[in-house]
Amino acid sequence: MKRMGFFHRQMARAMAAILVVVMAAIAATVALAYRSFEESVGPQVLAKASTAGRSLADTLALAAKHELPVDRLVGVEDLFGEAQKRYPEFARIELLQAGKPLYAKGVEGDGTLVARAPIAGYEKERAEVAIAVDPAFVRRIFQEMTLDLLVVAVVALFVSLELLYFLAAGILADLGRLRAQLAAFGRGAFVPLPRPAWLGVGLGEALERRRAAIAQRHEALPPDARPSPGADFTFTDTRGARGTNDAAFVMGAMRTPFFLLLLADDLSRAFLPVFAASLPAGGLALSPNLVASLPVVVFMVVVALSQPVLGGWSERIGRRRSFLAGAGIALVAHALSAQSSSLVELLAWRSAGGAAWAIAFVAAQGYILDHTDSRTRTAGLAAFVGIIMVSLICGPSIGGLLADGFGHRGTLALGAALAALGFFLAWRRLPADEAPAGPAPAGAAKGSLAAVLANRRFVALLLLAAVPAKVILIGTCYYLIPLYIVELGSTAAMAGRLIMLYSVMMVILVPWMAGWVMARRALADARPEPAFVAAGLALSGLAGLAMLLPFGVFSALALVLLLGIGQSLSISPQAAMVAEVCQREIATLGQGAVYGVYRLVERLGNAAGPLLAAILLETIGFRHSFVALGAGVLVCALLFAAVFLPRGVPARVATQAAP
Amino acid sequence: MPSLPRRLFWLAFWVVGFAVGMTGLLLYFKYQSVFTGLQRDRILLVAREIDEIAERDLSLGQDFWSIDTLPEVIERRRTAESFLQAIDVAGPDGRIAYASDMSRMGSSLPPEWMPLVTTAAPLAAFSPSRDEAVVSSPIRNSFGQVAGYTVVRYGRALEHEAMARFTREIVFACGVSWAGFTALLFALLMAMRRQIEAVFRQAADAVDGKAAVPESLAQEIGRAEGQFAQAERFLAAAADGSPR
Repeated sequence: MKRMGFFHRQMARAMAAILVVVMAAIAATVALAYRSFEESVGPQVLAKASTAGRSLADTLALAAKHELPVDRLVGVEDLFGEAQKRYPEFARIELLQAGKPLYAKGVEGDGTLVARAPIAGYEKERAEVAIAVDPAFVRRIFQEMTLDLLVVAVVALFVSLELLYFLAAGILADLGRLRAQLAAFGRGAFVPLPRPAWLGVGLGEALERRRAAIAQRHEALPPDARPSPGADFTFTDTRGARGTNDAAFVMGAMRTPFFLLLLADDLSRAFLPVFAASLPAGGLALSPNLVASLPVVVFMVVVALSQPVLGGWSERIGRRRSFLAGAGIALVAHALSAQSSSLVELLAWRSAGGAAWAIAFVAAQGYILDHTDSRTRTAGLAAFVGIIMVSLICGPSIGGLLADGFGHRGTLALGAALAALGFFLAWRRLPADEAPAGPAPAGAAKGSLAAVLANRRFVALLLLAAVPAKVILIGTCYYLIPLYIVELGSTAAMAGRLIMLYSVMMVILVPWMAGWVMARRALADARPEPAFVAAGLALSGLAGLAMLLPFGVFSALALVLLLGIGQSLSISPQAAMVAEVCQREIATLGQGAVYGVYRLVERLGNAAGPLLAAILLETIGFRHSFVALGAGVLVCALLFAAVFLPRGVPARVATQAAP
Repeated sequence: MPSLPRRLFWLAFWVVGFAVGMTGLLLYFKYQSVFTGLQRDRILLVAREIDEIAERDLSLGQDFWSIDTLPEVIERRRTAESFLQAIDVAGPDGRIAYASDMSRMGSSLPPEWMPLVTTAAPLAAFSPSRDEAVVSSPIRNSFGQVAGYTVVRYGRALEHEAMARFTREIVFACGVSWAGFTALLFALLMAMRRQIEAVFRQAADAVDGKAAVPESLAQEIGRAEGQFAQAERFLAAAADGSPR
């Protein structure tokens, strides 16, 4: 891989230093709090044992009322056995007389957590019930708590990094400006460029002085004596030197508002079904399970169906205006969702929330596509996927915790506040759209689906890559794994952690893989995207086959790891391939419409995943369902490689995608 | 315009502060969830015990409204746990059949509780006010049908005390982490800034022809320098009138 340049090295070092310190700060806070958790859990578990002890002592006190001698009671072990069956965390229950056991059930422990309850009526005999708490139970609580605290730490870290991108934007932009100056002057493009304001001010000025001197000497020559600009040097910005810098600036400006809008929505993911189920359904005679699923279904349907329409619309009215519209609708939708008094009302506001999400998504994606070219598109889309994944990691975890504290309505209202902040930042920071170079693509909204789907290579990309990738992701990771983990006797929380691990892998690996794609592209003008997509699909398929391993939860872990690597390999190159496979359609319909169709079909894969997995599960059981999905995706990977690898993608595309 | 060191300080301050504050807030809610969960388990144990007694008597053919053993058990259980405020056993319509407070017998559970109590879940837990929480569980007859509900009300004073104690501890922990790690991050950023500025200063001198090109920026400066030199040669040649 290419050696990192000075500026990348400095940015990487600074980010690494900040990351390490932030991680250490979070770890220290969690460690200090852990002590408080430890001090609280033991007494609470013991209090529960005391309550159970008093209950058993009450029952035994009935024998004292009938004046039965305590050492000749019948069925005490059975009574204790019943209690143990109900509360497996009690390792041993004893009836003691003057400290000596008369009757006992369970194994002897280390005696650290023992609750005692005297038996009324047997005071003279000093009879009491002693319940020993299983140390393994307390250990399990601590293990669970440790894992939960780890989740808290990861969430805090990711949200803090988003804040860092926001706060450090100015300083990072300085490094970007210097790099742009050096890169432009190194190509012989002596154009005035923005200079750093904080860091490297002297170097920026020295470079500008040198440039200005050359430009002045050039100007001072009589026009006919001036060397004509050409291959060697130029004084006009024909090679996009300013554009490269602007792209980073635009994407930096879009990042935080987009993240806030996504987070506002993801906050409610964890509790929305419960909230919906708690609302009166009015005249709708629906089962509680259906009621719980409706807000999610409505949201997804609106998002999926609106994609092709929104693509062209967003291009026509401009990215800034459409993003602001999305943020504004999100703000209203979240605020009114928090006020919903019936299911129908909630569904209406969730539909609006779905439309807002889709508008913001399309506008943000549009920013990426408008400001990247075929070389940088994969990296841009990787950053885009990264923002979505960070929000997916943080939103449900924070939302679940906040809902415990603030309630469902309070957390929805907080979502509205985040959307308001997103709107404000977008309004302040998002640059105005450049005037379109030509007329808006005709018929972008009408008939785009049929027109794009007439492109066979695009259909192959959809059916052999986009849909199978989503089917195996949603079908296994989000549907089968949670059920399988619980079936194995583990907890739903463990399933949640595995899903989170997948998301964390995506956040870390997607940009890294995108960098790899760019490096491969730079080498010998190669087109590595199809190879990355094929490899990613193959790994995703192998992930399903990993469930053949006989390691229980660890097999599921292997699946998640392989799926994470596979999807991170393919997700951005696959999206980037759309622009190259559909050049003709983009020229006529606009890239918004083409990407709208792509996202629509991709989302149909999302919907088909759990459905297919459920049918498989019903007919062939857990393991075979995983294997069948994996094998299916492997076949798709082979077919994809057969279609795309021999020929690669069509001839070189224009460096700047058509707006 | 504030200086770069001041900007770096605020960057460290806000990033560390946000990370620590966010962690503290999430820990606060996590602690509350763990504590109330354990307490709810304890209350549920009482509710389930009453359920079992009622269910046993129902299975023997007794009428729900005339289970003789329940009133005594209810009173005993309520007095055994000091923070229990009341135990009610209500029919499916919410009318109270047995209660630790005899005056409540025959009255109804608050109507706003009914949707929560009659939920299909095996237990319901909610807080009608800041100082009171409720746990309820269904009583089922031999056919698995809901015959009534055990509703246990308890005070949240223990929870408030525990949360207040935890808040003090977490605020202290966050304060220490914030101060310490802000200082550490600021020091690190300043050290990095000094290093980078030294390289940039040397590079600026190199561009002005006063120093050698720093090794770490040799590639980038070298390319620009080459182009500058070439352009200057062309311009000089053009000024002299000689061909390029």
